[in-house]
Amino acid sequence: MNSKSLNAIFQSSPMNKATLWSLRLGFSNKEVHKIESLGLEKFLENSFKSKVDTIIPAFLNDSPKSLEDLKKLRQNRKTISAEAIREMVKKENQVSQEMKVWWIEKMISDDFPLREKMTCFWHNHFVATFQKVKVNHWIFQHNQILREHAFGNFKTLTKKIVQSNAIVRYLDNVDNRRDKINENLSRELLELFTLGIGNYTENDIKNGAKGLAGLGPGENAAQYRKFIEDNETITYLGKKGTFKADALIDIIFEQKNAPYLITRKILKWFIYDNPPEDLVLYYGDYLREVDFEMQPLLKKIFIEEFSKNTGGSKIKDPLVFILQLKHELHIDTINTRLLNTFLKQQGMDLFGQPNVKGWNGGKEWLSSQIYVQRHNTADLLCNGKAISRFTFNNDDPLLSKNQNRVSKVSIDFDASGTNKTIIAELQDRLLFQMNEEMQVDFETVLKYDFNPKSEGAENAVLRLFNAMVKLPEFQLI
Amino acid sequence: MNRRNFLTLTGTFTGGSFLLPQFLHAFGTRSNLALKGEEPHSITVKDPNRYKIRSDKEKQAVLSANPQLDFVRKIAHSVVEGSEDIQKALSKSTSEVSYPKTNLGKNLEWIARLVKGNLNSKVYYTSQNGYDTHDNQLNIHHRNLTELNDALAGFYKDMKQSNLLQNVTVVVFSEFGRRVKDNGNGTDHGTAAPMFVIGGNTKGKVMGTNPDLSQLNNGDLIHKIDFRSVYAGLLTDKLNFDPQLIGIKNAAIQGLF
Repeated sequence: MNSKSLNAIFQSSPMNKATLWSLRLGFSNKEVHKIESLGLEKFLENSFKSKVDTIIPAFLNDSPKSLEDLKKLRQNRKTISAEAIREMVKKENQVSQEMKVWWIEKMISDDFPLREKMTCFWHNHFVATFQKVKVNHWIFQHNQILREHAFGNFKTLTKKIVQSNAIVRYLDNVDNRRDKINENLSRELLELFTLGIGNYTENDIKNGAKGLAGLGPGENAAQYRKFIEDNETITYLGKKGTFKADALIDIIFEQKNAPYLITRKILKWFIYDNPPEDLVLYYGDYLREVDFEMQPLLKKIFIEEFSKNTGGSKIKDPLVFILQLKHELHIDTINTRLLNTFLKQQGMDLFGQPNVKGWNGGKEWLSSQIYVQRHNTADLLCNGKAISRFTFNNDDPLLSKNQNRVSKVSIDFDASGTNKTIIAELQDRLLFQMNEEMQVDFETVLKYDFNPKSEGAENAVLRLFNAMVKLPEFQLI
Repeated sequence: MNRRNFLTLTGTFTGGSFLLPQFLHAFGTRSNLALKGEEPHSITVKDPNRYKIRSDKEKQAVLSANPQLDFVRKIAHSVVEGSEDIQKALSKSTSEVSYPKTNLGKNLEWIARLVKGNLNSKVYYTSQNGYDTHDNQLNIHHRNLTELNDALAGFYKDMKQSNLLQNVTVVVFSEFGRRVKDNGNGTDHGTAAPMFVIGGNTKGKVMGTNPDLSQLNNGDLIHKIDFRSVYAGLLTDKLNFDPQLIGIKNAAIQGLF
């Protein structure tokens, strides 16, 4: 399908544009007013300028940090009891949970959440899970690199990430040495990070692995170890020489197809589950033109696509689904731990992608089970109940404390209107499109004689809201 | 790479049926036990009429021009239909065999209950992760294969006791193989791997010959049997379905059943 026929499909989209783009560029409709009052371009500029929080969070204080700490830990493990080792592992697991909470709170509270949205994009591009990396500080460093370079240069970011402690551990480059080559990092650098399948040979992978041999964890970033690195002359994507990580990446970015994989993923992450190939080429060529700087690319994509009717082209991820509900219902005190559990069950565990390819998104966000859970969660939240009753794997003791907790929920609507204006108002915020049949259904919930000023009016609007968020149309943005 | 690479495909095959699977039930890594939730499927219980009307209409309705919307609608529909059927099947069956308390064990236990409850599903599918052993291969392999072995043993016993083993064919396969030479502590990607077919009146024998370790292709095993010929055999013998219709050109493997 090309972009022209795609546009024809979404022409009936009645959702408020600022709402649609607040959901796409952030996690909820929190930014609607900013987008409306600043205009998209200024909104984007402010987002690009947003400050990066460089404070190392306190929950990391007692986690091993330096190579010295980690070495001591390894030596300790040989002498202490199995029980003590289990305790240590448990403690670090808790720290990892804290890190997820820390990140979600950032996503919720940031004035310009586009930076966190982009950080999350990179997080799913350069995957490094806690389960495999096991060092919370490295995971944090990795996450901070993504945040600092969120709108930066793709080539520079790739260099930083390939030489991060988290990635060399996650992709087994810690085992890649001159005499025993391990190809994992070399393969993913080409297959998943940059060019994509079909744009390199198996020999490029084998030779790239030689160039990466000996690159292991260092104090703040990965470093080569003289005794195990491989200085053989190799041929990499047609070039001959002795290449280390930076040089390999420079060669990759000289390839004709370097900009397309990332451009396709950007279009997927923000706008289209199935991005039209003509758009991938169009924006990809631009990315090459601007020397792989992400900021101009993002600006161009968002501004040009904003002018089109593209609502309903993307299945909502669980993060947007839940944070949108939270914001609509004014739930201020949502338990972020529960939120983590919800995300995990929905297949979007932060720092815990199922594999190196990351979350595939699109149709893979939904299965019948996931759909049922989204419905149940919407029902619970609309009725002011905590989501804990739906945490099936209740192995976190902190979760069970909040069983059945009731929180106050409310919904914004214009009480000077009628049933029809309130239906239109809610639909404008929630559903990317609407038809007569749905209108009839909604008018059985809010009838013609509905009095918005009566006692219990808000409950009736909440029932309408509840019905809307359970429609298939609510799953799409 | 940490990709999913060990899959179990278990199917119930009713002899002589010309139908393709009406439902395919997948039990994957995201199978978050929705089948046994404390408040299961309240969507179908709470508001069934409203929902039913909508889905019945959608059944006949022409698809919209938006494939993503059609997909979500299809899921919404299958939730209503599927959850009722699943509940019915579960109410007709119990677990009499104890399964290991592992993910795979639990998934196979659920599948067994649905098979015993006679759910109208021809194919069930679940997977086990973690075979991408670039590192620490011996320990990881030991753990994973133990989980696989124990879960399969439970399922096998369960089917046998229920006198269903002749109707159920379990297919265990991996999506890729490993390099022959190790990389020190693990193995990199390779080709060719064994495949197991259990139950369903198989002849119960080893097919093909052991791979030739001295004759490799770029360090990788050369396969003896194309997996598509096994699929072709399963489709022909168990589902009475012509594999050519879905683009499998390979001749069906002979002598499996």
